[in-house]
Amino acid sequence: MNIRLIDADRVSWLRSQTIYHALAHAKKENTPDTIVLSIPVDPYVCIGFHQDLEQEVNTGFCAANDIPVLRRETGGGAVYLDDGQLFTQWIFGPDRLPVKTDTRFSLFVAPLVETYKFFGIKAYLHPPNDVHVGGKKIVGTGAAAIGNAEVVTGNFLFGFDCNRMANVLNVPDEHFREHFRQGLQRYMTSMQQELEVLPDIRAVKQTYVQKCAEALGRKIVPGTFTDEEYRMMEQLDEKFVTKEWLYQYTAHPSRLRRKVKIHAGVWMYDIAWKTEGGRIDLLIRTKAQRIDLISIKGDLTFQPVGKLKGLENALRNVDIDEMSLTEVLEAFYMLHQIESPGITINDWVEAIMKAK
Amino acid sequence: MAHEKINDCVVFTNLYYSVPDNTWVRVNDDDTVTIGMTDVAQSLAGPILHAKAKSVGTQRKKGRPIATVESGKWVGPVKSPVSGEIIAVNESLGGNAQLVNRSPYNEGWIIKMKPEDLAADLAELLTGDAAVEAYRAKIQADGVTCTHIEGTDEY
Repeated sequence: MNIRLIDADRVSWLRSQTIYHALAHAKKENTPDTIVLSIPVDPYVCIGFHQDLEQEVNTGFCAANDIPVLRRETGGGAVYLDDGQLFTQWIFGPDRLPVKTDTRFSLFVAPLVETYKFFGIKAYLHPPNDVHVGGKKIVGTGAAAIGNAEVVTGNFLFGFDCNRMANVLNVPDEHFREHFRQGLQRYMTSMQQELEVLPDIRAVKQTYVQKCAEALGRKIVPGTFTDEEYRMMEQLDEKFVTKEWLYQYTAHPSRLRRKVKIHAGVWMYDIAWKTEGGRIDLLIRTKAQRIDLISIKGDLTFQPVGKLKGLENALRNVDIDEMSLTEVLEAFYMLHQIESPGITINDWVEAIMKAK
Repeated sequence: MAHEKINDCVVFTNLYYSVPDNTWVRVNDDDTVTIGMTDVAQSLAGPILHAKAKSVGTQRKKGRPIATVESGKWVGPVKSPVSGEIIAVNESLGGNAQLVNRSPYNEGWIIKMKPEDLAADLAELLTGDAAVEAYRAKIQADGVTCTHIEGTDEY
């Protein structure tokens, strides 16, 4: 059976999500596999299926800037989306995609990578399911079993607003937000950043469809929605903005207060650690499970004065494993004759290990 | 407990399975059932981040979702292999969803259910050698090798 192509082009923020959800929920045995292309005309924030909206989203900023928030049925984290992105969404029968997740993502990502390459961007799959260019992320993907369909989603990033992304997320303080912003700037890229002249969006779509046909070995033909699919879209338009849907999950108490992904290998953590000597507040950015950046604060005593900064420097590039951390901390304490009443080396290690 | 290993995937012969949906059913002494994801299911999903079951008291028909799980970037339903009322959910999964990976047949159970017509539902599930052979065929057809994260139950 041919694959149906629906080029929805520019759609509302809500429809950029409800179209593919509706196609999945309405899918029957004889419904063709479908590829949807769409661009949201209005910016919005989209949270993962199991996320807690209040915990993840800076709702005050979003409200003040008229940025709506939506919960999707695919996984992953909260993202800021706008018309700098072309969404690619596959809604396929479960038996027409590889069962193994890594193989499935490889298949889905291949046409994205090939299209980027066609336009001169040296993109590659960053396992399991991202696309990178020179160590920076340019595509994020998601997947879900929805209704009778398997859905995989991705995007072409024409431009990416790091400032907006940093502002829409809920973070502990502005210090964390600033480092998160810098992390995004350092580890995210877009076509705008990679190319001198942006390609025509129609050419990108045309190339992508051609690369999909090659990767899947099937013919792709333009199609339209059925009446049932339209009805499902209208139902989901209503459901996805209800409070019951948006606020369905609440946070679990945890000492790891916040964990934010920049891309598959780079994370930021906000950790509060209570010790007999006071509370340690850690802001840690990790890259490939090493400390890329660490900031230490809290109501602790750490002498000689000024050595906390030195500890931050000593911990940079250290592997996040107990042995490496203990070695560095013991050496630092010995070398600088550190006194931190009520805070042991083991406290530091346990706290930092939360960033793993 | 008697079990088989196929490409490192554990299949217990005393459980009942919905092979297409990768779920298992254990019949308890009080005629309630415990339901969970199979070793194949947890391997295909990968390390699970969230496992949210429907509430106690929910009536479910066979084939309808009793929980959703999220792993990495995949979200999917756990479909009920029997019809009935959910009488318990595994609260431990709320703070430790990877129990489903580490102990899919024991501590990582998803829900307990009071079935409507257990005999009829069990008749449509596979158990014993039939389940092993069905899984052998499925595992080979799909090219699956089970993977186990650190701390997984050993059999």
